[in-house]
Amino acid sequence: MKRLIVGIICLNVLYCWVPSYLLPFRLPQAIGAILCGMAFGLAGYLFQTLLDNPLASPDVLGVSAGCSLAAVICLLFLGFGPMLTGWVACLAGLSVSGLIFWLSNRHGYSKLTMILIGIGSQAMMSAGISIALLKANTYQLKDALRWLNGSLNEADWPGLMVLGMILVIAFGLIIVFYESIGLYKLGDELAQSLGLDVKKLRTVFFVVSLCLVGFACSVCGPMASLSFICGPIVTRWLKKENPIFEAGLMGALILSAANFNPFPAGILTGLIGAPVLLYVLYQMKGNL
Amino acid sequence: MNLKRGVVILSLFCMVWLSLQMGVRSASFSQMIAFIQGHTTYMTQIIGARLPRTLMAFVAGPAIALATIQIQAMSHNPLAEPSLLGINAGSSLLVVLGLLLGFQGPIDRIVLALAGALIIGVVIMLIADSQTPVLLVLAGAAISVALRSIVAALSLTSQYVMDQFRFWQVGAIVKANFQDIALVTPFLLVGLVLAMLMMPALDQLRMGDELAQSLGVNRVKTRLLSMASVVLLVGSITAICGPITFLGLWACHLAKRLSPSLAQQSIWAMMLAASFLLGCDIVGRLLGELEVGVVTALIGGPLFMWLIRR
Repeated sequence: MKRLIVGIICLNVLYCWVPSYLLPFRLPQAIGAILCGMAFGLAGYLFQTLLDNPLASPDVLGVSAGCSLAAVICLLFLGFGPMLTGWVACLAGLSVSGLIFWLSNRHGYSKLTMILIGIGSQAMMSAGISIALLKANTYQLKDALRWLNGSLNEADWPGLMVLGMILVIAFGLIIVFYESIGLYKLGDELAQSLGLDVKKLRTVFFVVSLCLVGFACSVCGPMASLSFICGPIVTRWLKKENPIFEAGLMGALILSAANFNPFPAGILTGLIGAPVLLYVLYQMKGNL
Repeated sequence: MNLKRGVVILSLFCMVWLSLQMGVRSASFSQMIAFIQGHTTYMTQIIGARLPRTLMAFVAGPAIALATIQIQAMSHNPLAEPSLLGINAGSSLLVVLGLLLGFQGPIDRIVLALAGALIIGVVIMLIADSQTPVLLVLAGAAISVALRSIVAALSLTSQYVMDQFRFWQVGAIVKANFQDIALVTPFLLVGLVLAMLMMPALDQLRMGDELAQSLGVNRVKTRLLSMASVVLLVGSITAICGPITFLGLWACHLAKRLSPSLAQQSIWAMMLAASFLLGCDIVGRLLGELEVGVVTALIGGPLFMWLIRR
């Protein structure tokens, strides 16, 4: 954990102060990388823990896709500015995830139903994005495509403030419920018999992680695969019982590193995603 | 059951007819008759121009259905489907990669699409054994999401690729022409023959791997050849019309109600898929030239959720 924090600080100091005259322009991006990375890392880890599956992250289940669909529509067809687009994207992400949650809860909750409904909605959202892209002008495409992958170039202070507040609340809740999350990992029945209110815990943390994803999306776009990769990496690397904060820090570290490449940050996270996915699939083969 | 089968055959004829008739300039009944009798007028030429598109749907639908039937039998998984498992996405990725590197000819495209389907097919085969149905679908979804983000990332690097990329995201049969279809026909035929040869073995494999083995089915050989057939079918269809999603899922689901044996099921599934694809194409045309892949996904998504609930 110490090494992670030191790494994040070093990377960002390097990014902001070399060369030093760029500081005012690069500071929002650096802070954005830390906050968004943490938000995606935490949300991804929470999703993977709550659904008990390393593949079930917000981007696979269509939450991020909902955000980008709304953003692309706003940019291409309604001509909204970046600020308003961010808020609409956030709202759309929240409502999509609310819908997934509601649909999977209607006849009794089950993890698998929720995962499958998420996959169905993800496919539909992607189809919607495809329509939007097909009907768009060529010169608008670049803006829209950036929204599909994620980029920190548009990070601004008001959005970061909101995200920061959400993160503080999330941290508070996680510290309070840290032990309970550990218990939850033992399985529903065992946790319940140990006196844990499984349903309450699940609801609280789904809402928290959905808010994290939604607001982070509104700052920097869906940031391909980031929420998916953090969990498996820290679980593998640290061999710790419940590496939830480390997952958040890992996200921040990856995004800070991604700041250095000349392309939008989402490209790098997307490229890291594929090998991690292969690794997770390989692991699952052993375990299941 | 006979009534249902009759409805399927009838709907296929209706869809073929409608797909030739409807469009920006719809033909009348008498003009259709004139077209069938071989007269040449202005309107019959318009109908003739729609012919490749109809033929494309008539080829693509059955190919996807046949692939789906095989995947489902192999993995004992009623939710398995080429697009849900990311096989289409693999083809798309390599085709876009090819655009980026300058391999743009039709042959290049087919080779790349087949290679992409092959890679993902192998990955799926490696993990399919140990996965429950839901987890296999989840793995496929994760694969498609990862591949899609890589494709999007690649396309940001050049304006030309970006422009092409959006058409590669969705399946479309609008730009169909006879050359493309002729080009992939050999691959499709090989896939079809392989599928037909493997059908009896697959049918026994459905009862469980051990039972099938004791009946003398070579499990490894069956799976390898079936997967080869799936790769040929899906890869070549993706090469000419892009990824078409969810189609096989509903066709196979409905076909299961029409017949118990796998060989018959696959015939019904092929007919159903053809008429579904034609129907979606017609719906897309009426909604202002929406691509057929988008229509199948928008209709297929809710249907998929409904399937899960049961």
